[in-house]
Order: sequence, then structure tokens, then C-alpha cells
Amino acid sequence: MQTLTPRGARVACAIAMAIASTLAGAQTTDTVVLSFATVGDSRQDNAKPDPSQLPLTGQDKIWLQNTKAFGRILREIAAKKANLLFFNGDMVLGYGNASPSSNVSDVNSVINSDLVRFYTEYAYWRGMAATLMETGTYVVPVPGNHETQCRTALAAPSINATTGVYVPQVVCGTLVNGVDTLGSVNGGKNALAQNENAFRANMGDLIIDQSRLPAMLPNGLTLANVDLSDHASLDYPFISGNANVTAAAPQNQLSFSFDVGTTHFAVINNDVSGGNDNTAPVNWLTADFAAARQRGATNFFVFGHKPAYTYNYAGNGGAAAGLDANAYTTANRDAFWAVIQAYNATYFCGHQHTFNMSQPQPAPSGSALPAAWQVVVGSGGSPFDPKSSASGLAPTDRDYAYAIVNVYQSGNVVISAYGFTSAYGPTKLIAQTTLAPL
Amino acid sequence: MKTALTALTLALAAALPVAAQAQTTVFNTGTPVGPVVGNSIGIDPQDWIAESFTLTQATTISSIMAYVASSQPSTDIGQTYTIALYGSRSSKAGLVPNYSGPASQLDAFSQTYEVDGWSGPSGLSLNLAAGSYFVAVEADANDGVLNLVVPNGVSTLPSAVAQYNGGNSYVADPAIASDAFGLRVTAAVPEPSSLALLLAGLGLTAVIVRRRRG
Repeated sequence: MQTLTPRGARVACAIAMAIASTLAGAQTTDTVVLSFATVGDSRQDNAKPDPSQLPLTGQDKIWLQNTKAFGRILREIAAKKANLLFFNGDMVLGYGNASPSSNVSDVNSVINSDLVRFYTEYAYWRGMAATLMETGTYVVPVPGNHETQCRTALAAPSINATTGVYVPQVVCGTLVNGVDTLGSVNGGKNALAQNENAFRANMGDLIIDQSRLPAMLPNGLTLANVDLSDHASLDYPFISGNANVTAAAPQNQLSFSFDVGTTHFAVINNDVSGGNDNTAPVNWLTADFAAARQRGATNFFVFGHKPAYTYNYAGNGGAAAGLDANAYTTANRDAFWAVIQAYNATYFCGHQHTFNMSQPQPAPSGSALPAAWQVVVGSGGSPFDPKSSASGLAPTDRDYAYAIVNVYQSGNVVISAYGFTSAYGPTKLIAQTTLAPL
Repeated sequence: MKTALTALTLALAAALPVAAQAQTTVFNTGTPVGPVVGNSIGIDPQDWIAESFTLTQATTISSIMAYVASSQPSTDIGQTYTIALYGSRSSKAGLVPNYSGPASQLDAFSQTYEVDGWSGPSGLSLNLAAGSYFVAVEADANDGVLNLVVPNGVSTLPSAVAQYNGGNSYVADPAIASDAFGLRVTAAVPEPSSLALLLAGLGLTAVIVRRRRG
């Protein structure tokens, strides 16, 4: 038997290590195990469309959607082969009172009723989103304030001079001596139980179809622990002693959660009937997250409509547009963010018609967790909040944008935001961050 | 003697197309300096980008290189994409932005992403007439999760940029720094020494023929 000399042994060892290193290097390629997209706010505006989108097309005047921008976003999400799309609310202009028409014998009265407007706008959006469902991306709707809230508008019905769109009269409460009883509550914007019902009636089949969704999941991932129960009593009324804040109507299918593999998804309704507008269901979410972690969930993603922390773009002037609307809601917001931070979750939202990614709060002192991210993607086609005339805008403030989130085999999570300008220039990768596994 | 002459003529004929050739740059935007994340143009099956270069005379193109990068290299290594060449803009059958008819693709070259940088077909012998052409970076319809981008920020702008967003045609886009990507097109021209050798060979053939006749 031959033996290696010490030098020969060293050479052989070096060669073996080089081969092993090469093989190891070949195996470091990470793979995407789950991919989802998120965007919100595609509805058009009947009175204040973005000037860059004028004139509105005939179809968008009727169905009040930014079809061109939202259609392109949907095509791109399909091209990127996302497994799910979370749409963060304001898919319709809505903002009416989805009660049945008071005069059901008059055809015009029925056609122009808020209820029919809700249903037709929902149907148009559903038709657009249906294409995605047929190409492998499951659509998860999130309620927004334009779905659940009613906005008092007592002026007589009219045709807007700029858009040519019908602007209805809207009574959200009861008309007493020409005054809407809800007109002075919460700035005249109040979530109504009948609007929540309309959302459920038009979106409920997607929340959650436990036959279709599992069939669209990749890599053998399974759907589990689907919680569609009503947990309203845990959180509402969110403050006590305020006559305008009462118990909410059932919140089943408005706030809900489910697992895909070890990824936990939670959807929350921010504008809840009973005067619980601009809030988050903190108590339910706390219990929901704790149960998910107990089951072994490693990634936590939350989808709502309103930002926890308002993005103060140039020209906003510090106005609060989210869960920070007032002192009461801000206290609720702080509790909500503490849950987000504690579980290293990421919060995706819309409402502000712009794009922004930020870590709004530093990580708590002494915490091993990084600061949590808030991703505002209310940039699905609605009129931009940042105005083109404002000075100091960020380059992406007026981009139609969406986020793609890839969950990798290694545990890494990569959030990539893509956007294109209101002039429909090329799509660009506008932001990206990696969340490392803990 | 006749056999030798025939052999010499055939050898010269064979040498003609493979005479040593130099590479000359037809169009070069320069290496893009734009970041991969922030304002780079995304490439997926719905989002393609093209830009033009112009030939002032008939030219034999030898390589077409685009600067392609990835925001997630570990995922994209091994993924394929396409560098395509479209016809002259002077022809309506070519890639004319906003023209909704079928674009005339002259050639398409499948590429595999390995590393950020210049990538594209080389060793070509594409004979193109004078005119303007477009080079496009396109993703294949059956690509998986793709994170390819073409960084912007080039020093020399193309005369035209066009984008495709899943519609029926490319549409014109401003040829500005934020929308242009790195493109380098080279042509093959015979080196002077090769031409001289070729001419010498032809001259020798002529002398032999003349002497035989004499």
C-alpha cells in the first residue's frame, strides 16, 4: 500500500477542499418558495382625478377605475408569477350608503342608488382581478375606507364639470331638517354596517376560498388555520365613554388570517362600523399572532388600508392620514405597532396615493429585532396625493407602484417595489430591502 | 501547374471571408452607472426595453452587447432572457414605436444570466443595410421569478428608446438618461494587413496567369 508524503497529503487536502468549496458554492443558490404581490387604491375619482390622467376614458367615467394603470400593474404581477396578490383596499370609489333604495318602484332611483353604484364598481374591479386568478395569482381583498365608509355629501346630484361623472347626493345617517346626523361625526366619513355587508357580498367568495387557494400554492405549501370568525367583541368599541363610538357589526371576512406554510398572513379592517374608524384590531391581532407563533410561524405579514404612520411627502404639510388621525386612534396605533414590532412583522397598506417604504420607529432599546417596516403602496391608479406642482418630491412619489415579496428557502424575505410614472414610462425597480431570518 | 493555380485561387476565395478582422464600435452608450436598485429598468415577460443605433452604411455586425444586472443574483443565475434585433425604423415593418402592426424581428439571441455586466451574442456575421435599428432586452414568457434589470445612467444617449408593457407593440419613450440602458454594438472590418495579403495573393495569381499566357 502506498502512502502519501506530507507534501502530497497537503496537496491532496487542498484539492479536496477546493472541490468541496466549489460544490458547496454550487449549492448556495437560494430559491423562492413563496411570492406575493401587494398594492392598493386603484379607484378613480369622480370629482378630483389626477390631471395627468385627463381626459378620463368613457369606461373609467362609468366604472370609476384607473383601468390603464391598474391593468398594467395586474399584467406585471402576473408576469412576475406572484402566488398571491393582497389588494389593500379602495378598489371602488364607493363612499356611499349601501342601503337599498328608498324608492324601489322608480328605475332611475334604483340605478342611481348608492347600493347599485357599489355593486357595479365592485363588479368591474372583480372582472379585472379575475384575469389574475386565472393565471395563477390568488387575489386577497382588504377592505378600505372607500368600501366601508360613507361620506356625507348633501349637495344636489350633479355632473362634475371636469370629469363629466355623476356626483350623487349621499346621506350616511338620517336626514333631520336637512342635516345628516353623521355629517359632523368623524369629518363626515363613517364606516357603516351595510357597507361592510356590501364588501362581504362582493368579495366574500375570495375570503378565503379553501379550494381555489390551496390549488394555486407552489412548492407543496399548504393552506392552514384559516380564521374567518367574528372577533369584533375583542376590540370594539375601541375607546369607552365616547357617545360616537359603539360596538361594531360582525367583522368576519373583514379582519381575518391564515397560514401558508410557516408564513402567517393577517388582514385587518381599519375603518370599522360603530364609529371605530382609523383603528386596528390590536387585541385580536395579539392573540392571533401568539397562536401562529405557537404553531411555528416564522414570517408575519399584515395588510390593512391605512398607514400606521402617515408618510409626510412634500406638500402634505404634516397632515395625519392614517391610524395617527387623532389622539385616541394614535394610542391604538402605538399598541398596534408594538405587536408588529414584537413579531418582526411587516405592515403593508395604502390609502395614501403614493409609494413609500420606511422603518417608522427604531427598534426598541435592547431588542434583538430590527425595526419593523411599513410599506405604503396606495399607488394602484388613484389620483396621486403628492401634486406635480409640489417642490421637493421624491422621484417615486408620483409613480404607480406595487411591491413583490419573495420568501426564500433560506428564510430571507426580499421586498422589491416596482413603479412607473404617470406618463407610463418603463417599469423600474424603485426600492428593495432584505429581511433576514431571525 | 493548372492544378496549383486552381488550388491557389480556391484558397484565396476561402480566405476572403475569414481574413483577420478588426472590431470597430458602431454604437456604445458607455457602461451605465445607474444603481441596480432605485431606478433601473425592470425586465420581466411584460416589461421589455429597446433602444436604437444607426448605421450610416452597410455593415457586418459582429456583436450586440447589453448591460444586464440582477437585484437578486442568487435567484437569477441560470435564468434566460433574450437580446433581440429589430429592423430599420425607416421601414414600417420594423420596430416603430407606437406602430401597432407586427414588428419585424431580424434576429433573437437567447442569453443566460450568470453575472452582472455586458452580455450578448458575439462572433456574428449579420449583414445590415444602412438605417436605424433597435436592440431589445426581453424576458421569455415562461421565465420563473425574475429580478433582472438594465441599469440606466449612460454617458452616450441613443437616438430613441422604446418600451413594451405587454401590449401589441413597443411605444416610444423619451431618450433620456433615466430610460436608456447600456448598449454596445460592434462591427467586423478586415484588418489592413489582411487586405494587403489578400491583394498580394490576387496579384500573384494574376502574374501566374499572365506568364502562362505569355
